[in-house]
Amino acid sequence: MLRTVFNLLKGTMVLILLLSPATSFGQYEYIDINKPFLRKIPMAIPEFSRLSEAGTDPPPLKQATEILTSALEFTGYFNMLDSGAFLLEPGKPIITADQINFKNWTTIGAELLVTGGLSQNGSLIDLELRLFDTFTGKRIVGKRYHGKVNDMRRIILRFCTEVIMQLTGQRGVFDSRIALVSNGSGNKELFLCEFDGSKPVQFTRHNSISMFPAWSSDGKWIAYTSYVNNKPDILIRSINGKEKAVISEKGINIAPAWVPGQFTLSATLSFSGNQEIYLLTGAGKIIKKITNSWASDLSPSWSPDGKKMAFVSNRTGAPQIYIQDVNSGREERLTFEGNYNTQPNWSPTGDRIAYSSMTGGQNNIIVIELKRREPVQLTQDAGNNESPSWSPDGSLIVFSSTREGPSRIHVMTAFGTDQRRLLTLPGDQSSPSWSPNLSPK
Amino acid sequence: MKKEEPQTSSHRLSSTKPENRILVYFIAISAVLHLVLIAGIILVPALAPAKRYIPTVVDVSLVSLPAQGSAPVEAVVEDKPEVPVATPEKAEVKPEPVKPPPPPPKPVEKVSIEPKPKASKKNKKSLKHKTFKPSQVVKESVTKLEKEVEEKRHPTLEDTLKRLKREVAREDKKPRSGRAGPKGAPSGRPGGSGLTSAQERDRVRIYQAEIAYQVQKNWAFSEQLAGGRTDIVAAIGIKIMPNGEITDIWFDQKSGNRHLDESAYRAIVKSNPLPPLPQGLFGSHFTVGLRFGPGGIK
Repeated sequence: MLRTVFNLLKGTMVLILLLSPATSFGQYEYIDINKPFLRKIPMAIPEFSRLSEAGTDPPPLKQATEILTSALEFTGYFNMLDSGAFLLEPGKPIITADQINFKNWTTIGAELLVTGGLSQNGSLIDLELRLFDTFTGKRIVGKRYHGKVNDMRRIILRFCTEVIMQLTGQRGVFDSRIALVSNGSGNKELFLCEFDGSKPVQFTRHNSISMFPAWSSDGKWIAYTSYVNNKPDILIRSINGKEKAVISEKGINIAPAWVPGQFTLSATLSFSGNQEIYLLTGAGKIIKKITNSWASDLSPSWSPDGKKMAFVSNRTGAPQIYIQDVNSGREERLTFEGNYNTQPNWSPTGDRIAYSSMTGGQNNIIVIELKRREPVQLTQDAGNNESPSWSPDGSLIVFSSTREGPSRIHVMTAFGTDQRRLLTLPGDQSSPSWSPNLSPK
Repeated sequence: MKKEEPQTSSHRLSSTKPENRILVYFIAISAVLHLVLIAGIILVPALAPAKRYIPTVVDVSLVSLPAQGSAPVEAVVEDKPEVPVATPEKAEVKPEPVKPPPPPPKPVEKVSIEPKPKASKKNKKSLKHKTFKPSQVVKESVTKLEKEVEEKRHPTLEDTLKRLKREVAREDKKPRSGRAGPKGAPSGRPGGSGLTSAQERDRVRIYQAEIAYQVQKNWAFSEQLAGGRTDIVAAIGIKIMPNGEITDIWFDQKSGNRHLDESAYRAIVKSNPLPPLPQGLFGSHFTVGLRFGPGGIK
């Protein structure tokens, strides 16, 4: 009798164990939440306040707020809330936690709040910037800067780097630049601009054709193709413009790409009679031949670890993208969809490659994940979209597009959202190339 | 054998056996076809695969609304900071029709038990207006909302606790009809209600779906900000009181990704209060877990 009861009990226990959800962590059921309604974090940035130990001059509060807002908005991570909805008490500074009524911010839906305090003394400014989590009231970042008024933008961008660093563990894009080609002067010349398209400056003055700029991974060198000698040669120039080298083999010399972490680059040379990719020193000396096929091999782009190289080859008849393991020489074909895939650009995160694919007479940007090998088309029905180049943190892609008629430089997130024009210069712009982060940390 | 061989060959050459001829014929056809195929592969290599469908990206901007939409906007009415029970109840849209200190006339306006989503929708609109035409409303809203916020949020913590204690006490006094060991099973084991277990399960499901809907609506998560990772999961437990108020939030498992953990926590805070617990289904409270993962994003 006792035994039967015992067995019964045992059975019940087993049953209970079986019935309880296997995946649960606690003692209760779990509801899965997989689809966030908002893909951007609601952020509020009220206009900066004057620091209490006010300086002699009225500080440029509005300008500083705008620099910060547009820089953070550029990342595509945040949804900037309309300042008209802010619940502010006029005249009351909002800088430190004890000056903030966080309920006022959670009520309007803000999850993050950035406050700034600014004072100016002649040509010097003091700037206090803070990032708060409105729901916990915690300060995530707090910085105090002292510098020249003229450096205000740089100071604010440094704070933005801190913010992104805290939130993502990455340094973001704020100290990167973009090289591009513009023909406004009548010739295709290289230009450099800030990450957000501001401050474009002309980099080359060859009065010839210059194209395909490529940044070395320390950001100190740019290699590009130039017709200054009436045939395509590769010029290598330091950013400060002082040092130069030339790759001027017989035939064509095009499409340079630097090997990450090294002062070596790869490029397509045709002196052997066939277009093959070679490895060269930063001074332009050939180290070795990398590809070897009867077809043309072009447009190299390196994985961030420098072990693999993506390139374009027409060995199957139409241009497709291949990957070579540089040590073993083993090659595999990456793209199978479409019959005109070119301009591969390896993401700095290493897991994706962006490229340009022609379908139906239009070029579009496609990103393929290397693990799953599933291409996703990021642009469509918007003219020709070409020359994708990743931001140093892999969160954004810059590319050229003819969606507005003339070719312009555009930027979008790595997922194809938030497509917008980066800058407008006279003439057409093309071949953008995003630099690595430039100020070493 | 030897002798016969020439014969066979002569046979083949001259008069032929029909099978042999057919064989040669087929070999020839096969060779030609192979050549055509090889030529085809070499000359038109990329034709076949070109047709596959490549998924594209659609950029959709959803209009967001301040999370708490439902509670603050609607529940204005009179300032009665002194009635501790009344205020928090107001905040919760539709409290279970309890008997406590005769709550002011408001239950009349907000009776509904089921159409939770509708209620929140209505509120959405009004809030939207507020955010979109701020200039006109700002002044009023500053004072009004602040007052509300003060009324509802600030004092509530204390008041809520008091009220909860009272409620718990009340619950304890209640005859525990058919409830079996509610302590050990806070997991939303249906209590004694006249429903069949299948019906009860359905109602629990529906309520869980309501929770999921509301929390999801309030969840702001950027996959990019989380480094594009889709394999991370944060598990959070919450305790829901009969009026829908979340009184406790804890992490069962952190994802290791700060953004996911924080965004999940905020989504829950923003979703407070949830729809009131369906009557008679749960005990004094309902404990449930929420598992946040960006797996569904693409």
